[in-house]
Amino acid sequence: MHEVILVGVDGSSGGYAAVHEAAELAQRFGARLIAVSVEEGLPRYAATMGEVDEFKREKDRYFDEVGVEAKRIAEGHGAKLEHEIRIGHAADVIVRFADEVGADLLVMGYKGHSRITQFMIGTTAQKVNAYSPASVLIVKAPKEHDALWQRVHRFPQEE
Amino acid sequence: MDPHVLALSVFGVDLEAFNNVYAIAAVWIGLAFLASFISIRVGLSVALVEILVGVFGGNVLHIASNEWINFLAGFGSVLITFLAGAEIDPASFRRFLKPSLAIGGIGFFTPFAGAWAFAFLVLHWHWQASQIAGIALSTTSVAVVYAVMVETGLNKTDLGKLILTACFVCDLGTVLALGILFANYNLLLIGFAVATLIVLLLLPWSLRLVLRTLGHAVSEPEVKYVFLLLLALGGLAAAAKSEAVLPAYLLGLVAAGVFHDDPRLMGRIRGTAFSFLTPFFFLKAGTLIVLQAVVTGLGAVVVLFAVKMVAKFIGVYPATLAFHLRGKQAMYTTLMMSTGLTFGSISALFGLTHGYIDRGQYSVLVTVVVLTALVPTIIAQALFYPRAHLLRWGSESLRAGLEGSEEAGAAGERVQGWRPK
Repeated sequence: MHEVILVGVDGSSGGYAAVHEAAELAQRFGARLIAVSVEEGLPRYAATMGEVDEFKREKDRYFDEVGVEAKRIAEGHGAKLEHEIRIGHAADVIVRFADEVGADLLVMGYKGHSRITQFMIGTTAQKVNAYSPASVLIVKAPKEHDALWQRVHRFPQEE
Repeated sequence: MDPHVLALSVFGVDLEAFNNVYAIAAVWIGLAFLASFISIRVGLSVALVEILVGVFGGNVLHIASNEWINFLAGFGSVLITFLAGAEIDPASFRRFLKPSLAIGGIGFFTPFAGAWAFAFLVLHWHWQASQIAGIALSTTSVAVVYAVMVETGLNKTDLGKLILTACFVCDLGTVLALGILFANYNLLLIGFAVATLIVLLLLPWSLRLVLRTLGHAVSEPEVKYVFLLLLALGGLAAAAKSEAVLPAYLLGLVAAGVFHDDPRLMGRIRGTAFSFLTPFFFLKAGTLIVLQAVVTGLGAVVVLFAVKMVAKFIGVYPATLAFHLRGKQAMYTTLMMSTGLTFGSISALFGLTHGYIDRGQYSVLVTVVVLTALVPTIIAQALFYPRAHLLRWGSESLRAGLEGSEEAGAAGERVQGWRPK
């Protein structure tokens, strides 16, 4: 049913829950599983190139670890995961990347936001759902997982 | 009463006793810390935020610089100029020498001449004030361009490398103009020129020697050596009524190879600059902006911004076409080369410090400079971003291009439609 499954992973509990779900589906359907992480907040209007490089190095290091963790989770479900890191606005990049790799299912983690935040700017998952050419599955992390991930990981991108 | 004490007196306590160097430094570093916090939270450059926080400090808290702040700010501008020069990629510069000299040279000259003429003939600024306007608006912000390129992946392509090296050439034009136009043409200037030439010739060798013999000791001898050269040549430049950023940029360009081989050295100098020196420069640049002057000079801000954009378009766009850039790529390059921040601020502050422009003209110029950091980038990203870049998933030959191999160059040419000479 699914041939290419793309999962967005940012190191949050919701993101890892999405990897669990996507890996399980990929294993069942024999689909190709790709994870994408998006580095947001690159310092624009910088004074030196070093400022930009330093930020990128930090993000690269963080998302490399996220990629390793995502692969470990996928292997636990018997699926092989490819991990790609991109830069830009998360929703925009994920939608474009889904188109690029020909994904027919996009799996996203759900992160809780305040009502004001949801009203004002929405969530990445909402935006991806609105613009994605592929079907979108939004996964909520179980509460106990959430607490565990919060203890184990830092979440620099969580709002 | 000293403005810093006045700022602190809002708490209703007689704080005259706090009119000392530590308390004043604490206020400035406090603002620098605030700027860092905001910059990290909102994803804007710390330099830009420091200017804006400085505007708040100058106009609301009424803080002002003094002699030692002026020194720290001055050395901060010298150091950031040196770092900017040292960030050039020597290999790319050699490879794209001809097109980057052409595009960068024109990219400097047309806005320089255009803004100079416009300020003199239309705004009726006096001759030297008009020259400062020309220099301040001739710049291209390499770092702003680079940030956008990293985001789009263009920094790894031939097109991106060409644009970046052209930006360095453009900024070289700016610092040369700043160092030459206002200098006293006498024996001191000749002495300064000869000393700079000798240091430039010996710097790569001598810096490598210092690194080889003394290494990265705790006492940081290699950093002190760089500071020594910058301060000594800065002293000579000041004596000759030139500008210390001129030798700093040239030294940076010449030392770039050493810095590429030894990133730790760059990291240590950058750490010193960004933690303690450049905040004083950018905050000071902001404190000197008079908001009322910006409001009353809004017309001048708009037209000078338009002059810079139009002049960059007239100069750079045909040059990009001549070097086989087409469509969105050409427009994107032109807009990227219309950005400016650090050198524009340095030039305007040089003009104010030396009495070539007044606070009102300074406020107008720095506002235009800040706008040129923001507006062209936003337009370029929104309307002219070349979509057919190299980041195609699964195409190994193209992805190999991201590593900078020969194959990468060929792949880049195929995708970008641009061929290096």
